Amino acid sequence: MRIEAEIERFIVDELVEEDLAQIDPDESLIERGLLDSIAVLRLMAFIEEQFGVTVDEGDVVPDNFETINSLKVFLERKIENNHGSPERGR
Amino acid sequence: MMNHRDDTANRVLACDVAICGGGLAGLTLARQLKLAMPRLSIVLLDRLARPLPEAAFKVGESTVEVGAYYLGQTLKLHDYFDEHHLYKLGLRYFFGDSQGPFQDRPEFGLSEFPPVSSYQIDRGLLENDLRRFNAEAGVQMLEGCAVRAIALANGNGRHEISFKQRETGAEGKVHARWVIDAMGRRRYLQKKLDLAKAHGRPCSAAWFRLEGRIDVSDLAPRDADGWHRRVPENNRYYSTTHLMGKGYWVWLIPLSSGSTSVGIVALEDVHPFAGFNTYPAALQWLRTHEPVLAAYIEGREPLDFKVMRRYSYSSRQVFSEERWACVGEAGVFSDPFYSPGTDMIGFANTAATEMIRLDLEGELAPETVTEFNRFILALNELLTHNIQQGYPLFGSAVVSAAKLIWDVTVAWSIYGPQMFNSIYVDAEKNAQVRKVTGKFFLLTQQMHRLFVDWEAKSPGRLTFDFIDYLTIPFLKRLRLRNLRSGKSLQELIDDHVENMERLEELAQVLFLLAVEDVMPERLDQFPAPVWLNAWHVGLDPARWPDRLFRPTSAPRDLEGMRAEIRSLFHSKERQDAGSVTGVPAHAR
Repeated sequence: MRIEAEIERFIVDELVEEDLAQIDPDESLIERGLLDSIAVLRLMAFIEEQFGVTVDEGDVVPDNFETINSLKVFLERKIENNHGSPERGR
Repeated sequence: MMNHRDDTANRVLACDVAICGGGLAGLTLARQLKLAMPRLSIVLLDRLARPLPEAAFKVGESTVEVGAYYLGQTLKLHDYFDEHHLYKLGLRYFFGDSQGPFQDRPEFGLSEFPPVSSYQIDRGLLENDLRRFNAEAGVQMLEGCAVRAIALANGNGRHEISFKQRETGAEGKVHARWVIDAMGRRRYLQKKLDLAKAHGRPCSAAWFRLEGRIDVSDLAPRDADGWHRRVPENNRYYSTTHLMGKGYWVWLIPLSSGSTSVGIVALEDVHPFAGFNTYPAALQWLRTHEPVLAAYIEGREPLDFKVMRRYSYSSRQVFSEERWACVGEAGVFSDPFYSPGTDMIGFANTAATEMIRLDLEGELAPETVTEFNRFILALNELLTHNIQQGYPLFGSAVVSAAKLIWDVTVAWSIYGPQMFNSIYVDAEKNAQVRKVTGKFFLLTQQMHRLFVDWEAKSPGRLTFDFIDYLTIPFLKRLRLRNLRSGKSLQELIDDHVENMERLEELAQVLFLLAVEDVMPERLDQFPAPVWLNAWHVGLDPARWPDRLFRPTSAPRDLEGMRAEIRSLFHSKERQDAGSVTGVPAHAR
């Protein structure tokens, strides 16, 4: 829950330009046109700072970034891998 | 001509803008500023004095359309380039078996000079001329003056630049409202402010200049008629030629001063740097990996030999509302593949010019600086990532050709218009265009994943003889539509809507080509008319039902583009069975 809420807050505060600031966790962020290159780089920087994980550029694909829920699943996996592995990041 | 040797030392010069570094980035920025604001006072300092040596001066000779537009149109140097430098016949690539006959290698390149031009630049010649033009335009040129230190101003004060005249040892200072670091890889401000950011894969380069014409046309025997005919008059010489193999490319670039630039660029994971970091080692490396070229240049003496290890870097910030900017290689550096150096100079210089203009009008907002920073840093990082994940794929002709077609389409539909219509420096245009292209980034990320996966799984079932990418009808139309300036906002929006449609279609077409190469037995899962979710193309059939087969856009006809792309390739069995004629598949 915490992860989704924080990601949603960042997206709503920082990336959505119009005022109707509500996003369904299963709504496609791609369809909505929110995740262009600059937005994704900002989101990656936010995720890395907030959750202490390193996002590999190869991870930035629709499967992981399509919705808030897919971001959550991706991040949980990252955090878990990070926790279990001594060689964090690259 | 002012004699600064006597009167600049031991006193303080004051100006609006001090440009530290008189290489290509600093010289072009000075020109751009003077063209935009003729009354601006500019001092430009560089440790070297004219005459700069021609032919073997600096690397970075090849431009593509975006950089050529910046040099020719933005800087109003079109006639000068016409007269003094070489027209370039696009980018040209040779793939496949480097040990066999050269004319049998799959070739990707142009047959004829295209209508929107680009140039091959002799850097020494250009920089000598730009210095002269700038001096004539009233830029105060402090040549032979090495920058010792830059003290950034507090608040609204002036920055102080300390320099030393190399010949006399005399010292002097410049006070400026704006200071520009254009001192290249020294990255003075980046290091001083701890902004440098490691970035990219371990790619390294070595290069040398050889006297005379090293013509790629000479690498095939004279009697290979079909091969010579398909690019008339030995014009391949005017291309930036790339000899490609797994983890490396070798460049051949003609220079207007009559010599040829040759370089080796490689991913260190595949080709250790020690294998090519001296001229004898580089020649030995060429004997192993590119023996036909090695035999051709054997016995010649290089005019120079230079290396650059792990050349890519990024930064956390290149522009500041406190009135400093890092341009050219003093800011960020991507990768020389696709010749983007001049493009990046053009993008950063145009942003710097706009910031200085706004500042002098008292209108420079911090948000503008933030947006320009984001644009340059994102462009650099994405370009680097996109290019460098291609290095391991260079051994596969079919996958590399598909990626080239994708990248060229992206370059002309997404990056080209940014420069030709200055989109990123206009907040309103930028916001409107970003609404249309917001879906692009994750699409291209997915495509890069597809290419990596395709190369890993490809049995090399498909290949090609010759692809002239400007004979691909959709690509030719797209190029003409996009590489044009002076568009209205509505035209820009409409063109980007159309570009996004072409990219969505091309993603599906290239995916179907990958399926045919890797798993042709699966093609019957894609009966015409095909329409897929382009954002989920991938070579794992288990994942197709959930995403790929659930498009979110209304179907359009793919068959026309599919036929255009498919006709470029043929199956390898057919080639192995018959002889190579040198005539492109689609022309047979």
